[in-house]
Amino acid sequence: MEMETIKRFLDKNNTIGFIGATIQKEKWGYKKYKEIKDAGFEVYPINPKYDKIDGDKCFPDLNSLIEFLNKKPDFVVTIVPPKITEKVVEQCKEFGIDKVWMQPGSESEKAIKFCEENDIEVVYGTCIVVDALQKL
Amino acid sequence: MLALGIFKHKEKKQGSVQKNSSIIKWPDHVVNLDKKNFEEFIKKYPLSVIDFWAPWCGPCKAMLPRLRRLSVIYKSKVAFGRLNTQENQDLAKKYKIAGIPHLEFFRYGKKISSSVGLKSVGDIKKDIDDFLKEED
Repeated sequence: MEMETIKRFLDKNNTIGFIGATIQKEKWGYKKYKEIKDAGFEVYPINPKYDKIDGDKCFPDLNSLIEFLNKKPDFVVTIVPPKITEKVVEQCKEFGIDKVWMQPGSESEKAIKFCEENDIEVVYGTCIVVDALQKL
Repeated sequence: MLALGIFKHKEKKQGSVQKNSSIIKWPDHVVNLDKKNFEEFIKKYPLSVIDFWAPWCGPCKAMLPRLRRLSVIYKSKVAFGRLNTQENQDLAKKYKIAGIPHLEFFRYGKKISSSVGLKSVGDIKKDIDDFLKEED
């Protein structure tokens, strides 16, 4: 994967839907959400289990986030089991979201293949390290 | 005149081979780098491959044995190192590391290429072979 791909995703103007954010501070679903938020990105947590995460409104699904924003996010991060990612990518196609970053462990061959067949740019096998992007 | 030109070119090439193979002491393993030895390491070798990683990153764990294998294959031709981005955030910022595992290729300290995400031994080998060919 080229650096250009990463740059396209981690553009500070991008709006991010973070699927699988959690209130459990020891989990990556919290740590990565917080890291992305603290790095200055416009990121929205998505998880039907919670109303708020780290004081931020949490959305039950992609649809409700899109209704709230009145636009689609520029890309979504998945940090959920692969079976859920497979459903998420189908929703992305439905909503016209063309970028998905699957955090390691959330990807599946089926989900990756779906993205590739539907012109959804997909990052997998790569961990986000946005803290390194701060103060550049 | 033409013959003289060719002779001079060969002479120059022999000189550069001598520089590459006999003066440099090549590492026989993947060297752990930090801020104290990073710059010196990348400047020292005609070709070095640096793996930017973090202990919490699953795909990074899979990268290490691949690099170890490559360090055996390319002994005395390529220097391999790795840098823990969590412990060396300034260097991670300097090299704009946004996704890991991240490989950077250097020629005497000059960055010549980079790639993000877990790559197979074959894919990394292909890149290295291309860079070694350029050296010849």
